[in-house]
Amino acid sequence: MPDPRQHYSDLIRDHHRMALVYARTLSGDEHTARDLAQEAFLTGWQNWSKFDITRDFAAWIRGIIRNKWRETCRKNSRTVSWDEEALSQLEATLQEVPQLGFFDKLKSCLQKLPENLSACVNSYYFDSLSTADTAAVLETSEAATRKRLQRARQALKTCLTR
Amino acid sequence: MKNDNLIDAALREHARLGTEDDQSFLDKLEQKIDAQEEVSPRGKFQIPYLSASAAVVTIGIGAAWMFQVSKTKEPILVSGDTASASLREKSQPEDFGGTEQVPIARTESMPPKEQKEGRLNETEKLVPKEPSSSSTSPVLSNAVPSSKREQQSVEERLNYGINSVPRSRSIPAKGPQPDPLSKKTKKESDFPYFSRRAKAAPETWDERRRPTDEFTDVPSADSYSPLIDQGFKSPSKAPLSTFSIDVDTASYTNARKAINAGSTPHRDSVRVEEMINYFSYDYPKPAGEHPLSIYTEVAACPWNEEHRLVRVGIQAKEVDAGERKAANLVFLIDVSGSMSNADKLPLLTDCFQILLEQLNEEDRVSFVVYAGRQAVLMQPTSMDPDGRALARKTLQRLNAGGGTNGAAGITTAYELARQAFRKKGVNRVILATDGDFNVGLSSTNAIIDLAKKRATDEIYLTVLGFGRGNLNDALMEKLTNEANGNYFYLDSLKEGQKVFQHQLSGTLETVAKDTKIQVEFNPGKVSSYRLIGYANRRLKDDDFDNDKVDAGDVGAGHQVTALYEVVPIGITRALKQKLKYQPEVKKPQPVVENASDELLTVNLRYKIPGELESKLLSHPLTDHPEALAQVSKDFRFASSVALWGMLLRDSPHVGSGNWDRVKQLAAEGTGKDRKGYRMEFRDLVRKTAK
Repeated sequence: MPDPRQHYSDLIRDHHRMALVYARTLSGDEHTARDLAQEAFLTGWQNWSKFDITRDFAAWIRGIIRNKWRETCRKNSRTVSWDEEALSQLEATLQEVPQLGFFDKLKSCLQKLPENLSACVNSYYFDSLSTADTAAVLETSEAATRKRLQRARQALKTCLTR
Repeated sequence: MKNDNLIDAALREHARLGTEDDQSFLDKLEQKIDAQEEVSPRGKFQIPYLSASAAVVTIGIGAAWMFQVSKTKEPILVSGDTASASLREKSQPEDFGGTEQVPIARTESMPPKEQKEGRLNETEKLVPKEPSSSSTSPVLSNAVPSSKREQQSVEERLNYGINSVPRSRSIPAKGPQPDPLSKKTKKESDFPYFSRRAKAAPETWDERRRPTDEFTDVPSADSYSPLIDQGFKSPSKAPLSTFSIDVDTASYTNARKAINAGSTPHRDSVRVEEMINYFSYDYPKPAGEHPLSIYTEVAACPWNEEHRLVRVGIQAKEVDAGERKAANLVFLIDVSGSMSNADKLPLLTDCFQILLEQLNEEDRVSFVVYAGRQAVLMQPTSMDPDGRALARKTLQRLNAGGGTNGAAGITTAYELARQAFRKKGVNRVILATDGDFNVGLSSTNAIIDLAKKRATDEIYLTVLGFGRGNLNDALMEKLTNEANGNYFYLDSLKEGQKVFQHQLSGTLETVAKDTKIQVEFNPGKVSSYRLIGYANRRLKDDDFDNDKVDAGDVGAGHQVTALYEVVPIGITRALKQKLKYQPEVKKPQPVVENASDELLTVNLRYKIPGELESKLLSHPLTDHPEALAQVSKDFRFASSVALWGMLLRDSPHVGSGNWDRVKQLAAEGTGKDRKGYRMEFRDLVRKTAK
């Protein structure tokens, strides 16, 4: 028999970063996302014997994260900011992007961005500047910066799902 | 808008760590799982445990209540409410796996957060912190410090044998992922799948085999699809019997592996037709334009003398080794952790070495491995002496480790096969796995759809199954059935020689596609009939003439045998059990008068590879049954294998058949048996009869 514990560790290693991305998408916060993902993988291990091996592991873990997030919102008397339709749309998009090697593809997609969008993304995300500071560095308005960031994200999404 | 949030989160995550793993996240999580393991066993053991506890509590309360009633004879409030409430609390559904998931009972391993934190604090005392678990060495930091894990490591060595790859739960932090379709041939250092195993491995297969590799004491996770045998049908109601051809033999070798290890084959792993088709029979070679020939024979049924047994044999034309078309073969090899046993990856490499020896400079070979991720180990390479040496070296350095992602591996393999496509040649992806496609990005159907689509592009699929204890026979059978591939189970080097040496042309070269058989029974001669086996190969009668409906492919030199048990007109099948409340009513059989002496007609449809229109072959059988002693040795041997399979499946149709009958028929039918396969079968029968 293969060692299920080793197998599960391998799966965690392969999928943890995408789980973090998903949790961060739902919660909008890095620390909450880490807690959610940790809890989800723990719950996954507790129920590992019930996992259908022919199913998509990444989708299974996302299901657990989703419910953990709902539970967190209930406990904190917060409304879930994601309705079912939006969650379905998000899931559909995630089904299209590569789960393994996602960040390699993202890196490759970033290199294909037009220069004006690329500069904007670099300042905002990689140099951690605010939109106001990014706008100042790029000598443009804050509204234009926000628009460029939105266009860059749309271009990246198209590239990732291609 | 929501997808914008997704890309935003991905960019923030990318800015944080790039393409690297989040080692601190992994370390913390591994510690939590270990701590949980120390406190309580895994979930799968807890539900039975909980049920048992509940039963004990219930019985205890029941006994106390009865004791009280008998003693006081006064009404007593049942205190079991407390236990029930406790159980209800423990059985709260866990929010788990999405809204579509079936709720999973909360068990002790899924306590409220407060309890969990308490447990973790408690377990921190149990699991000593490793001083070296700093971030300086990702490998060491994730190594398992606890005595439990050391103990587990010893158990793993025992379970996996001396040749298994010692595994820690940590995988070295991965670097940038290589482009799987890079034109460059990768260097050794680029691959996590390369190991020094070959240097330490014993030289021969026999040396590698150890008793501990057997699975007799290991709970099996093999997966089989349920099979429902076909019953008797009346030709007046169902005159046609239609099925897709099946040249696979995996079921027999799988059963052989189980029996030789002292186990009984799983009932649903026994596909009788694959057992019969494992052996070769003396059928006339095709002549003329058709690449297939039909042969029929009828005699008294060995397990019910009033019935007939009809043998239908199909023979495909042979292709000499020198005439074999040039091959473009892509080996898609599962190197996940479950493949580390000696009867999996080491056997696989030995079997592929045999195949490599049969190839020449006209043939192209490439290697793709898949586990948690995939990699092209060797781009399409001509099998000239240099290419063969490179392929041999690549095989020797394969190592198992990581999860499985069958879907992604298959995609890459088909892409390579497409790149190196040989017009008028053999294009085939050879997937070698224990069937564990357990982290697929896509569903099983997506994998099947891909294989089907590529089969229409003349890229065919062969699936090779290895090992036990984790075998996903159900998926492999489904994949090859629906995608017109062939499926072999390799349990030994000898079987590797059979598939890759003695029957190489048949394994690689398809001579007939979408091959269907339809037998029409004459209701003037046949009261009822039953097809033995082919439980998952049935087709609708209308599909026979419909060229858009897929069916099985036949390789060069392949043979297919189908057996029908036929009840002649005038014979009534007795009910197995006598009725208690009514006399057995014998319904009058509708007699369809016709002048034909024919018992049945075998119709065969097939397509020449590359053509869209099917061709038809017909062969009638006249009813003049011979006594069993007068029929061919092949007939007796095939009926022996069929009866053996029926007994293994606990078939209700065995009649007077028993193990002794199987032995007798096999002994009578052994014949020359140059390769020893029939003698080996008799040995298996002896073992199962015990």
